[in-house]
Amino acid sequence: MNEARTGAQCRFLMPPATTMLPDPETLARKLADILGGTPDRALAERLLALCGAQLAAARPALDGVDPMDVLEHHAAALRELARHG
Amino acid sequence: MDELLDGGIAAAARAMARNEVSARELTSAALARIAAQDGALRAFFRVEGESALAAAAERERERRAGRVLGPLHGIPVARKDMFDRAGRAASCGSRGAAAAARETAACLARLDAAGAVDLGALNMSEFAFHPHGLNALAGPARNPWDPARAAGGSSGGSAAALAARFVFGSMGSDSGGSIRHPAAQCGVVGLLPTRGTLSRHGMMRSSPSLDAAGPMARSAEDCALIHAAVAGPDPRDPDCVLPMAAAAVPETPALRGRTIARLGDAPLASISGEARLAYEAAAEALRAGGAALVAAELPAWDALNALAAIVFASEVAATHRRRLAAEPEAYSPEVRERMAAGFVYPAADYLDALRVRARMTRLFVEAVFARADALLLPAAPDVAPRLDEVMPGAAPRRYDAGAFTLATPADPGRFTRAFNYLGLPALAVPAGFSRAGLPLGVQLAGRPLSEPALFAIGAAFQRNTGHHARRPDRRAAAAAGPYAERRSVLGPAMAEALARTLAAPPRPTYRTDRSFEWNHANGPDFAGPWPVVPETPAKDFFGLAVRSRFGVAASIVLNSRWTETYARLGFDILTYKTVRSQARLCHPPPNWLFLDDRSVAAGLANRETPLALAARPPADPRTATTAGSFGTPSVAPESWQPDIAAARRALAPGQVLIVSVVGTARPGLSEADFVAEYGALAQTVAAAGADLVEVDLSCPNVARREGEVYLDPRLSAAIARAVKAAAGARPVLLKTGDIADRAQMAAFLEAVAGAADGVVMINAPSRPIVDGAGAPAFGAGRERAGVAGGAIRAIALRAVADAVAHIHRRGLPLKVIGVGGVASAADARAFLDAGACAVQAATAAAWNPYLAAEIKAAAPDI
Repeated sequence: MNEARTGAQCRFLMPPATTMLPDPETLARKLADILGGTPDRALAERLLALCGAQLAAARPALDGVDPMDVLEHHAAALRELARHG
Repeated sequence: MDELLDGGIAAAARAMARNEVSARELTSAALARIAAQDGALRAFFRVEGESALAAAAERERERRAGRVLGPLHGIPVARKDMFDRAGRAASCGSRGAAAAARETAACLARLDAAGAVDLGALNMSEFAFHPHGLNALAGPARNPWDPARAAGGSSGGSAAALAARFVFGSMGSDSGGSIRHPAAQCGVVGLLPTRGTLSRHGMMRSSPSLDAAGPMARSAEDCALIHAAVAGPDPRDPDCVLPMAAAAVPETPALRGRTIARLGDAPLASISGEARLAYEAAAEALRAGGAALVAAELPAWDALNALAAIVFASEVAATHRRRLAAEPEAYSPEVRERMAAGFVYPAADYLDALRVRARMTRLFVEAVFARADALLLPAAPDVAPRLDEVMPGAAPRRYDAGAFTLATPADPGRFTRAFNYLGLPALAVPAGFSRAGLPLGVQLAGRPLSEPALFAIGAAFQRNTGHHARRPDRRAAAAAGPYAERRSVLGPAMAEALARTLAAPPRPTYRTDRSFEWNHANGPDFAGPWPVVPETPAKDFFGLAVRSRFGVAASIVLNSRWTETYARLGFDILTYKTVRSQARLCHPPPNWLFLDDRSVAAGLANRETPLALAARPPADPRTATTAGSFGTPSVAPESWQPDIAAARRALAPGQVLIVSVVGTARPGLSEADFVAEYGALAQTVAAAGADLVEVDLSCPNVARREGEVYLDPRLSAAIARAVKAAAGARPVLLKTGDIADRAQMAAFLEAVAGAADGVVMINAPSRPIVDGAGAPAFGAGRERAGVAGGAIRAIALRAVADAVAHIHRRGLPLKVIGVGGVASAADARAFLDAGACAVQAATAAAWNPYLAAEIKAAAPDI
């Protein structure tokens, strides 16, 4: 389980996040930089639609992240949940 | 031996313990079965027979010395081609270069230590990145229950090899369902283990937070035995830290006392009716076996799917970003595009998706497993799709290949990928069959480290249902199988004789005992010696200088690799095999068979007279008559466009590249659009580098509208005009069949003169082809095939002579290229003497790669 939060850590609690996805032109240029070729705005628009939908579906969970949550907690959770099986 | 290979690990182990069979005999029998049947299925990328037999011999020595390493001692298994094996290069399903591994992957080393015998590397999706197993390396594994269907992905070769009873077990990998999805679609068993219990050291990484190695087998008992051998902590995989109390399945696994959670209507609304029936039948079988069923919700299921997708995409992008930039040819366009999604998600969201993981796992386990030992879910939304439904460019697409980026109702991973994110184990088991006899599967998921319980429940379920024991009808695979294995038609003597023919010179560059996709990916089968090609004076070919007026017709020059080989062999007028505006699968093997000479002599003149297969291989295949049934396959334009450019670059001065194109007739396509499609294709191939554009108006074994366009002078002329307008200055050629009615031939020539520059004649005449029993030799629905080779030379010569005579008589601006049964300099000379401006070969060029060099030596003026 998470350790108790200190007051200082509580100061970093944030309101629900708002994701800022890039605009299609920016993304098209970024993808061309990474993948080579020329900027493909149509591809960028398709990807933004797909990723935007995934982020929207994940948002209720993402907004539940606590500043104290760290990646290593997952292995610990698996151990603990196995013990209590 | 067949019975042993079809049975379970325990039975095979008992037989070896009683000295009824040796490890070598069992391995040899498995290798023979693979050799006999895998041509049609392509479950294996590489069979490593030599090392497998050596390992089996070592197992025998150990057994004689009283050292039996465990229940897997001497048991044939295989691996998905993404696990390292020291000294070998794992392809990961990609055409990109791969280096030989220095160390064997941890789970393979553990299988070796347990005595298993590794038979080789299995087919898989490109970089484990397609839910239906597609890859550009050798084409997807085909489903043993119906070779026209996918085996699933990404561990499709593993599932196909198990369903076909080639091996007893396989190591697969699963980052979102890649073990469980193909297991369900092939009717076998596969486990996603608890995260952190099975080492991934030496396994290709995609998404380190989600990737898992896992065992696959034909039964829960066998899967448990393999799992017991490979599970356990490994310091070389920092995530592999959880101890696994692996245990064999009890002798009499019971369902009584178990509580199974089942889903209600809402989450099951997205699966097909038949998958739903299988799910309900599975639930009822568990209840009837004594388990208590309780209703379960799937808390935050859409969010879990999305979280898994965000983590997967982001990590895959990070894993591949350098190689994507440095070695783009290692990736197919579709995979590149899908990987691009990972560059979109903000880093903060990716990190939060991982940070909230423990919280979501607790929520899920406490909600679902507080009062249940296991959760019953579908493993796939439907039966395996037909491959032509999921090929890139196929339309309409029933299945969403972009599933990793957006969950949709038909999303193949909707019930699998969340478990990779949660880190919970899930076991896919066979759950019955559709009305068409195709497998369906369910999953049993559990809390962390509950694998022993899942195996026990799965085994009890199997014993009550028997679905796992049903196996595909081998005759179905054989019917689609390679020529050499069509024993039901040919008999063993013919099959063996043909195998000898294929093994001894002259060997064809196109392996007729392998699939088209294999030949596309691996051919041509020619490693030299390279001939000394005589220097010959330049000749004119539609205004282009060529070294000879001889080349290869649209047939075996499948891609740039084939182009490069045939150019180096001295063939100067090369036709790149017909391409389409969308991907089209080849008909399943067999695709190219020898015909009986007497049957051909008696029946070839009549369009409707069936011609029989040869009873034995011909004495000289270079001049034999053959039947071909391919269906004018094509890779997607994204693949052939850059490849045509590469093919053009492979040519030397004095060599030219013709690219053949064909429109794809389909319901609802207007004639105007059909014509326009040819124009668009011509424009694309011209831009890609074609010196000339050939329009295929005559494929002998596809839809009538595509295959007999040349019999319609008006439509032929419209297509020729559209192509000419689109091809720029490039000469346009029209490929026709034999037009027996010479008045019709005259009408055709007059209609296309002025639009086209030349006519290529003749394409292989279409005839019914039957086997020894009088049944369609290529299978039902493929009654007709194109006849090529020696017997059509006379027909082609007459056609060329008559066409040239008419052209001269009417002063038409057309030239004729002769094709049909050309196997020697004398044959080529006969066509030139008949008025052809050039000559091409196909069958003879495949069986005699030295033909061009021979012709140049004998007749430098050709």
